[in-house]
Amino acid sequence: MALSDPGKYRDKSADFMAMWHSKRGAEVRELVTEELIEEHATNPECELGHQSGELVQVLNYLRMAPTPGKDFGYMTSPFQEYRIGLISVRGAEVTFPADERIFTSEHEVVQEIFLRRLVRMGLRDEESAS
Amino acid sequence: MRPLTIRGYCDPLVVSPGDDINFYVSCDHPGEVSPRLVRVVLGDENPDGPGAKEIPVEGVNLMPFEGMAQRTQAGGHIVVSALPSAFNAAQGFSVHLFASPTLPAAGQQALIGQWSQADSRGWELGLVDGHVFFRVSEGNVTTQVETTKALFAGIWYSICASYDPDTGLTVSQTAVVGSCNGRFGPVVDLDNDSTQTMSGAFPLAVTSAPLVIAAVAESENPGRVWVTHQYSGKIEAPKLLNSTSLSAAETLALADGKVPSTAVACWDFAEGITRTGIPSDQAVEIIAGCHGQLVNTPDRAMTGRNWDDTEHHFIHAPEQYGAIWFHPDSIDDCRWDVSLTMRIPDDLGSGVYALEVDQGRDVERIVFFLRPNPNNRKKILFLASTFTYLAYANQQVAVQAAVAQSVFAHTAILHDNEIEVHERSLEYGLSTYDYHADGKGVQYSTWRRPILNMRPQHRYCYSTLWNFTTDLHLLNWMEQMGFEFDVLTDHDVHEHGSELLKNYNVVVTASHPEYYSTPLVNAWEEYIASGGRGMYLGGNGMYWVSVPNPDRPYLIEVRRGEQGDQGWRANPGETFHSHSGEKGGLWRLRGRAAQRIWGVGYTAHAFGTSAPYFQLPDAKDPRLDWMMEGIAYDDPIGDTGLIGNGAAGHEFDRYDLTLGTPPNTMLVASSFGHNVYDMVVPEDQYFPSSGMNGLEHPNVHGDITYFSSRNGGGMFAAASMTWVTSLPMNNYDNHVSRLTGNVLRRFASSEPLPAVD
Repeated sequence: MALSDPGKYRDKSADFMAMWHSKRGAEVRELVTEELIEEHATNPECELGHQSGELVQVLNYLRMAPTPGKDFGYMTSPFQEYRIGLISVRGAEVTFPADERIFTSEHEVVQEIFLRRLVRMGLRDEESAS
Repeated sequence: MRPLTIRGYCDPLVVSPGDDINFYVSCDHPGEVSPRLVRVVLGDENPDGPGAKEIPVEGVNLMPFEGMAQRTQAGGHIVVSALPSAFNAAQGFSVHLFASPTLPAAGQQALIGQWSQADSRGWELGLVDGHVFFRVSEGNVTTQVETTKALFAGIWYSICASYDPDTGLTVSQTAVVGSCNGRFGPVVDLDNDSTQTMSGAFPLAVTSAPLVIAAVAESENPGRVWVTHQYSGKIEAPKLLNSTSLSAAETLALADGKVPSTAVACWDFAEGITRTGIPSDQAVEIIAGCHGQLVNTPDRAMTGRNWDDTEHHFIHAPEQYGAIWFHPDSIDDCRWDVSLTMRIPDDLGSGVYALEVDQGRDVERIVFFLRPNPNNRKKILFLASTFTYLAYANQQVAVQAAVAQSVFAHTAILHDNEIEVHERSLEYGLSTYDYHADGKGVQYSTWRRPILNMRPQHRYCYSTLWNFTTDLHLLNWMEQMGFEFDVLTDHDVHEHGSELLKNYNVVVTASHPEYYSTPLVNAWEEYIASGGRGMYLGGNGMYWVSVPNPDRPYLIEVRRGEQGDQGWRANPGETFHSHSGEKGGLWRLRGRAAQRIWGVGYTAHAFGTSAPYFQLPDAKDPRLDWMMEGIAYDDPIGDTGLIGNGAAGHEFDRYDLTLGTPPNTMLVASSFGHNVYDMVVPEDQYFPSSGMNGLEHPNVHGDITYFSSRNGGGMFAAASMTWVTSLPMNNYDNHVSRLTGNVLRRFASSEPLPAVD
């Protein structure tokens, strides 16, 4: 039957991405241990040398996630004060979580973002994070 | 967040003593604005660095002015201010064009119309929720007919509409599917043609608003034309016909590209293509001379509905390049009213300056570059990368792209400017790294808009510096070390060539001179070849071909080719610049790798952390004693820094004889210690493999090199974007500072450089 309505055809790569996230997410979740979280806390940006292969895999998975809803650090006062915000699609307002926590270093805010992303991406249970 | 309330731009971006410069300022709150001229020294507020510095310029009396909000019109479109006298819409007509909509379902979009939105008068052919519509109105009563089948995105259609005041309206769409002209090809069993008629006698009141292509006028107000319902996609060959209906044969002929004898106007977007491209902002009307004015520079030299892959260069087959691609988010000029004009004092020294405009809320610093008085030149020239600054102007992809945080190996750390640009994207425009709303890469950028990432205090969104803000570290260091220098820009050298460079004993690059035009490459080559001395203190230089518009210097074009470290890739058949007809892409792939002129060329990026350089045997060569004075052979060079804590970082370059590094080049030092997030550039990956990262692959390193040329000339390369941010460490007492100073002193002297052969 001939094609006449573009609305009938969705992008089925979404099906693959759902499957990929399900399977890859499960693999990455296995890598998330308290030791790994501690490693990130001490060396989140490789400033102390190479990160473990496990942490590299976890960070790559988190960093490649779609942009909308992705946490970012917001430098409210240069090099002194940071908050966490959520990136939206271009042209839309950036939003900030209600808890309004203030961080005093980039290190702190990056670690908190890491922990939040682990929970949001299903790599860590909220209970174990709290 | 702390929203910005004042913003502005200047024109021109580069001035000479005695010139007038215009400043355009928009304020969210009306009220007095206090202007102040400052010389910019350094904006980086990193507490580990020297701190921000600016010096007020005395003796320039600038009067406060009244600030007001100024509106920016985004969106590419064409305004036709006069139509042929033979055309009278009220008596009936037909209209035809080819369209390839890229976001057909994105609300209401105008293809062509002489329509006033405020008054609902005139006629319009457009899209609504994916369907083609045609409407006429006399103000109170609007009659609209729509096709029944929604359009597929990225597919060409021949679209016709006819109006007979006595019998009604007809609109039709016919898909034009070729093997390579659209998103999919003939294997798709497509049934997407549609014709609809509405019978009756419907009046049409001709509006005084102009005919607009790819948008419609907001109102009939005289003066500047503001538009709405901007369109996403390609349009080709719009035409008006003095016929109130079209037969099936005529419709078929139109779909075949014929221009019937009843046509009274036809805009041929390929008309004007020459061997040097189509840089014009005019849409040529080939029957009556009713030419249109392009606004916001929609994409020219685009493949048309009949492109068949037999020719990829538009100048060789203009008949296949009749399309213009319109984007609702393009800006080429904010077109604001002038807020302040300043005469540059004759005795003001060359440098980087800013007009500070302050309303008591926040301060905007509008940066510009001042050339030297030609009768009072210094021996050292700093060449500001104005092409590269424009290529990156208001870049948003580093925040937006899902993969960006992986590329940068860093969590995004934003500040006010980044959030401002993100939230008010349509007012600031995009960079040549960004994507238009429909996913098409942005190929033009302009200085006629506020550029928030060309401000002294700006920080790049991965907690770092980039381009202009990095370059200020070099200028600050030269001041601290007592080196006197002039400032010129890419735009100056593009215009005046190597003769301009030959006024200097040494030319020093910026930290990231990535975007180069043919005259710029030629100028450097001629300068070094004839005895000039160059210091390449950056990384990823002379990489992308770029072309400023020959008539509108504020505008630059970048056509990204099939390969490279790139934000996007030009579509097939669209890799040649409209501004010049030149092939786009990498200079390396045009036979002019940076190694041939500067000794090194781009090899890898490392955005998370940087690494030091380690000396190699050539560093011990007695002919380089002058260069290595004060630096023990075993000492690393650049093991600290303000970006990634090292001198080899962000993007760096390598020595490569196969790519044209002069054979007599001394390989002084190379970096080591990069990590798994750092990557080999795509053009060197051929067969990508898992080890192409900084931990495992030898190509991930930067090289410090030196070679002598003829007549006492030569070239030194530090080959890294983060080199200059190591200069201030330990109060400027470090090996990067020492080595740079040794070379700069030697190069600036009038003595010939030591030959190495």
